[in-house]
Amino acid sequence: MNSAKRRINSTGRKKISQDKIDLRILAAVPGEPIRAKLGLDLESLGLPESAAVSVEAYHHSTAMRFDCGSVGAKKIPEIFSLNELDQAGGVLFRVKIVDREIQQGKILASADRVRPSIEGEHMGRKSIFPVEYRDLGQEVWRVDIDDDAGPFLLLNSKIPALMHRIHENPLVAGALLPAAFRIVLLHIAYNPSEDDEDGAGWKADWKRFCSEGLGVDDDPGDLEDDDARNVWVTDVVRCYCETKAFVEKARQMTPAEQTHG
Amino acid sequence: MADDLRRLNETGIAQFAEYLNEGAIGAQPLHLLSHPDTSEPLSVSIKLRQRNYSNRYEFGRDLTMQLGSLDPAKISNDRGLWTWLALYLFDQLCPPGPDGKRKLDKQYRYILSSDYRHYYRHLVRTPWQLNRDHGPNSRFLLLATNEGADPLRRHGDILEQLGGTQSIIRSRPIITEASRLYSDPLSGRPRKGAAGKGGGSIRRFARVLRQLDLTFDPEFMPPGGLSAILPVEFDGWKKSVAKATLSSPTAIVSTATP
Repeated sequence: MNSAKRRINSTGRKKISQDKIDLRILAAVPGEPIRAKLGLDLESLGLPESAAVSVEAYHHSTAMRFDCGSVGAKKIPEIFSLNELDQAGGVLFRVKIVDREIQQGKILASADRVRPSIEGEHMGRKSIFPVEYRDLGQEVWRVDIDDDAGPFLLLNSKIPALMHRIHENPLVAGALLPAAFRIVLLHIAYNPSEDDEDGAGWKADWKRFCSEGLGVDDDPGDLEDDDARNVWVTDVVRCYCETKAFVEKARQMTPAEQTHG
Repeated sequence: MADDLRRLNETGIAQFAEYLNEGAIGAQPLHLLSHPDTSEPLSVSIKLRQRNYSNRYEFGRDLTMQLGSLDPAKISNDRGLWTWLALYLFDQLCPPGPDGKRKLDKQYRYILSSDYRHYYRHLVRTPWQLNRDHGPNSRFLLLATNEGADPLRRHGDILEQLGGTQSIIRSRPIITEASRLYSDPLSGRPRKGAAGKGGGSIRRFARVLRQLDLTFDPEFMPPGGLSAILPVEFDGWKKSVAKATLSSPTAIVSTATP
């Protein structure tokens, strides 16, 4: 059975909806920390002009905080340089509006677990498996799964145009993507509980993709043992590969394309 | 004699790591510190003098002063710089015993790790960071309950409890309040029982803060505001702070003033 973490809102905190926040991670520059840009629309929330605007970026237990002025006079840095954050994974943000007059320090409104879009990602279309570029040493790629943020496919920023090569070369894509998918699916199969109370978390998105996009209807939460979980993962990966037709596309490539694509 | 502060390059770090991997036997590879193949100069010239530190707080304070001309944001994650300093001070961080053998700790104590689970455990960077962020309020994080031999190699339980969560360890109001609750007002050392597992302990303090994080932001609270919303299990600590204030008001003032 799926369970959910219940969050009690005892202080009447308002929720800042995602459409009021435009957060994007800027293109990676090798050797430089992750950078982000923020746009914030607080007009319609009815918050006191004097309330403080504070933004936190976090990944695992690393965090950075940015004071961004007040509701009436926002001072949002042009670029957030996330140099003190763990650079090896996906970043989440929290936006807080904090009372500075009646009950100083009380959070009046917040948006939690805000996942930024990636520069170049289509507006209004959020990937369930976002790609980010990081310095991964000699690793070509890695999957980073954060229970809050969900999975990220990390590509080594030192390899030029790696995403382009994945798009253009079915051999590269076929060697990498199903393996990365399998890591995420195994995580879901063995930890199917949804963290989001209204079932709108990243696992729900993945399950929807598996059933509606790939036609694998089993709910991983209902699988009874490890054998069933492993079969489910194998089924999903197989259906994904069939949808993408990696082998068929690779066979149609010329030897030169296979080598240099 | 003063030495020029430099930073180890990747080759220098790799050779220091090799020395550690082999058990730090024999003389430390001090030639890595100045050889152009293994280290490089900083953009600003800083002269260091070797001295023996009596505790980690004094060490952090001295580092903060000596590195004062460098941009803290730039050096904070400078692996080459912190690793250079660890090698430079290796005899104090990992002193040889009477038989000449060193009791080596994990590598991340000497070579700054990029892993978020370990980087705050570096024996040089952490005293600098805490002193820079919190001044005298960092004493209870850096000092052991009692004096002991080889003070620079000791990474205490309290620091271990709070250091892993950056939003706590970097917060001035939180560390000010924790210092007030858990420091001995005279010595600045952690009070007995602070690092325990019981109600009101530092371990519980960190957990309660994570719960309060959803509804309150200590950065915008007035002085004493955080203490006021801590649950009843912390009352014993609060009362003993009040008692200490009555018996030794000047000591409290000197502890709490950054």
